[in-house]
Amino acid sequence: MAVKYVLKLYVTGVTPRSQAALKNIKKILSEAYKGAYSLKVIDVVKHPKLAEDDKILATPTLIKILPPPVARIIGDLLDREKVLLGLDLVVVRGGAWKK
Amino acid sequence: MKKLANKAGQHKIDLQALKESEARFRSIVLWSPDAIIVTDAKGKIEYMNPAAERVFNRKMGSFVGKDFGLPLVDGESTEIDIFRPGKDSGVGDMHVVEAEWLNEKAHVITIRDITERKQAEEALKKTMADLERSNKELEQFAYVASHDLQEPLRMVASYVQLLAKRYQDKLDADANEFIGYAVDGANRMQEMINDLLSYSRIETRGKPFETVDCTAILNQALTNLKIAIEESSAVITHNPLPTMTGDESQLIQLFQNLIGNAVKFRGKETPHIHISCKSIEEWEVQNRGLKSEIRNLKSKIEKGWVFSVRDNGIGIDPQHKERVFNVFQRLHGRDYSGTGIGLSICKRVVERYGGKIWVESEPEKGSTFYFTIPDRHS
Repeated sequence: MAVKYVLKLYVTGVTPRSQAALKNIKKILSEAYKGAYSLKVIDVVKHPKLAEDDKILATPTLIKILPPPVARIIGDLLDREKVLLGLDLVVVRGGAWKK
Repeated sequence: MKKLANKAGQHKIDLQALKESEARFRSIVLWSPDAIIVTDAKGKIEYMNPAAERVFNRKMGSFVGKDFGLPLVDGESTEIDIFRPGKDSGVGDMHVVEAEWLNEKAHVITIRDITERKQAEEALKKTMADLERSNKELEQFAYVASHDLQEPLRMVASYVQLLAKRYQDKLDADANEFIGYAVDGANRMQEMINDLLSYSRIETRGKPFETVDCTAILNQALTNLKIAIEESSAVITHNPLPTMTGDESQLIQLFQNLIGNAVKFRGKETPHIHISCKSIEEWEVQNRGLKSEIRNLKSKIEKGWVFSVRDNGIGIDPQHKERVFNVFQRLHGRDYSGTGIGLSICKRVVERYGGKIWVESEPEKGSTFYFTIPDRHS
């Protein structure tokens, strides 16, 4: 399956907030787009330049690059529905989550 | 005409009031210690207050119009990591409300910097975890050491005893004396190891709590001390005692150690030992105005009992009041038997209940040992 969904998650080291966000988003993405997504995790402690270029103020920040438009959410990424709606990815009744 | 002029005047006043109220609200936002960010419905930054500049350690100008991100908060608020280039990251508590901004849907995001509080919390958590681990290790150590020490010690003791038996009078007087010391030392060490084992077993071998009758427990303790009590012709009295939840064998041990001590450390007079018990409430009322450690009882335990074991024995010098509860702490050298673990065991048993033990005493007049046991039913 071709990668159709490309996302970036900014985290801060291994704080409980970062770890929870990573766990939450991996679960959401693998359930919705198994094999069709790519998630790049960026630690602002190790890559401050990348974070500054992306104008990151706080983490966890999740950025959806593909499919367009680019969308960005910030917070605990706990609620699957809010996360997918926030990323502008909508649900199709009776099937998988699709754009 | 007059009417119109009035209206214009009214308008002026309204405008003035509006300006004043606007200024007030602006200063709330300007002086707020919390970062306030207003974004549009999609999360694009419309406004940031001066505190945001400090919280994020950056100039806010370059951020207006940029994407903050759609804030997702599950419930009241959520914790986020604050990215501060060139500085350590911080922790913020993010609170979001949906609002209107210039007639459009918007988010008002408040971020409170809780970095210091979080650091203190984490440090405390770590200290607690370290403490718990080191306690567990110590317990394990005490158990293993005392358990594993027994075997080689038994060998030393039995061979020295054999030596004493077989070579009695075949060596010189010095040798007899030395062998005597060796036997005595081995015996004492065995006693200490046994005591250490029972001390460490209070936690590891403690039984689950069940309903127990303190009068029955006291009677069992007195039965166990029968010989010592008869030998000293001690008189033992007690008030009515409650029924509560606890580990029966440990409570027997507790009473037995305290009463046993009262008999052991008796004065010249016939020992008189009195055991009584009061509810914490009663105790508080009776001891109002007394020493702070007694008055503070209630702040530690809401509901429960204060037991006391009073004797007319030799008493304890007030300066040793704390020390008597230490492991193997003995105040009287070898004039009295025992290794000095009895009160340490009492302390551990009481602490297992979440209670406290202490002593009030006057030398030559007697001592009263107090301990509290919280009521587990409430």
